[in-house]
Amino acid sequence: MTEAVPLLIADGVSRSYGRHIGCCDVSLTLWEGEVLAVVGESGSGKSTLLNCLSGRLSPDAGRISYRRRGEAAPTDIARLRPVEIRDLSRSEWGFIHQDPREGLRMAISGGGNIGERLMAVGNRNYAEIRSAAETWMGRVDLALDRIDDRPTGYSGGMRQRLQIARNLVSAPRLVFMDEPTGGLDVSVQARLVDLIRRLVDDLSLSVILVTHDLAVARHLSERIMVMRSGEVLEAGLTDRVLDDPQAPYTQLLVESILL
Amino acid sequence: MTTPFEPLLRVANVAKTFEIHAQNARRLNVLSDLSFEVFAGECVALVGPSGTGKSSLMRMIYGNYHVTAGRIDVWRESAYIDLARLDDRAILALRNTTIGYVSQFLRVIPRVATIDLVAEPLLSSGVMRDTAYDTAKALLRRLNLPDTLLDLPPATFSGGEQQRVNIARGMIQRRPIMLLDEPTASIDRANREVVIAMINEVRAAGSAVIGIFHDQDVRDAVATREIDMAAFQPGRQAA
Repeated sequence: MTEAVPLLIADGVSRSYGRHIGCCDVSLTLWEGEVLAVVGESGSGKSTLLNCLSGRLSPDAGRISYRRRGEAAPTDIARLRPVEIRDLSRSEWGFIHQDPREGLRMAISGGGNIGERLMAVGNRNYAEIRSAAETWMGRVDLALDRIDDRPTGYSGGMRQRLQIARNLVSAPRLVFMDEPTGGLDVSVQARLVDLIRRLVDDLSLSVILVTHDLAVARHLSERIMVMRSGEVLEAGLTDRVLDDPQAPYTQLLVESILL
Repeated sequence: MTTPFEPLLRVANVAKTFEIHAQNARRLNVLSDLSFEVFAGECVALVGPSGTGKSSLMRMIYGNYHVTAGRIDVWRESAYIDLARLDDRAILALRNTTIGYVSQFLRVIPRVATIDLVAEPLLSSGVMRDTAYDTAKALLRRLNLPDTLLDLPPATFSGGEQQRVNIARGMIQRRPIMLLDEPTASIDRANREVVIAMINEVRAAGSAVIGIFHDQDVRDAVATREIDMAAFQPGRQAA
């Protein structure tokens, strides 16, 4: 049941922007089927870390290894050519942006957004692509009669659902999520959290979830890392870190939850 | 699976201190130097006034609270492992195989139907869907929860109904170690008898049960032994 080699390992990852520190000496291990939440306020470095882990940003120091599908040993991401990184991000990885406009193509239809990802991994059968797009519209609770509409006409919550469908249609193993519920109305957020939880369970996805929302982290993740000023202050089981926080900053964060 | 000759749980010299950083680094010592063992087929009731660390101890045994000092040895597959020193994944594995916990309040995912909540532990350990749902339904019926409620999320239920859902979810799978935190707190008389019978069945089947039972009647009906937590109180305030 538990495999011997993790899916993703980060060891001492640092990245700064000039004199400004993004993230500093971050290490983590992600196992298959696991949801790891990275929490902290804005400027804590959590998004920088996510961008490094997903190959979108090169770290200044440290090492990130990922075990590719069908391989027993992890590969050092830094040694991959850009084209290999791009292949990984289209096939084995997904990336959910906070702003769906960054992850979608706004000028093509909803169905096209889902189908494009399948075409990117080599599928050329129109009927199959169309039917996969229809299936995925349903799986993310989008009305089928909107499949030919552009996402410009969708609400924020619908766009986010579409972005999720676009990412999951190619059956990734690892999905990076950057504040997936941020910027949405509270009622829409709750439904989206339910949807993400359901899909993660059904597909046994591994997820690195960046969020500032501790309630979202509690609902979705088994393990959590708390970051501030680019550093990891505390990490552990989500329920333990939130119920019995040790670091002063974590205690402050937990005390600040309104409900 | 279990042996009657070794305790399933050994708590040794356990202490719990909360360090509250906001209030000038106040330290709250809740427990110190607590040691006891629990064998299969026993039900140990933790007794003592509130604030003596009963719930904290349960949470430490579940891995939900950090263990400040001492060992919590859990018997698993013919050896002891010290829960106080386990990594996250090993604790999750223990929760999936060895330690069950019925909390005082229902704190689960909102917007999920009652029947799904109760069947979930079985489904995630690989039980067939039909069997899991049949078992869940039978258990909820035994706890006198009307069938009409099964498709609804428990958020709007009464306190007693929520607690029965909680008990069903927590006890649908028997674990070698079962932690019960006030399982009958807001439950009426008729259902209390059902819960008492369920606890005794779990114990008779060979689990080691550790519980907090406020109600003296319930305690008399289920406990084979009591541990007085007041005996392990450190000075509340240290520097």
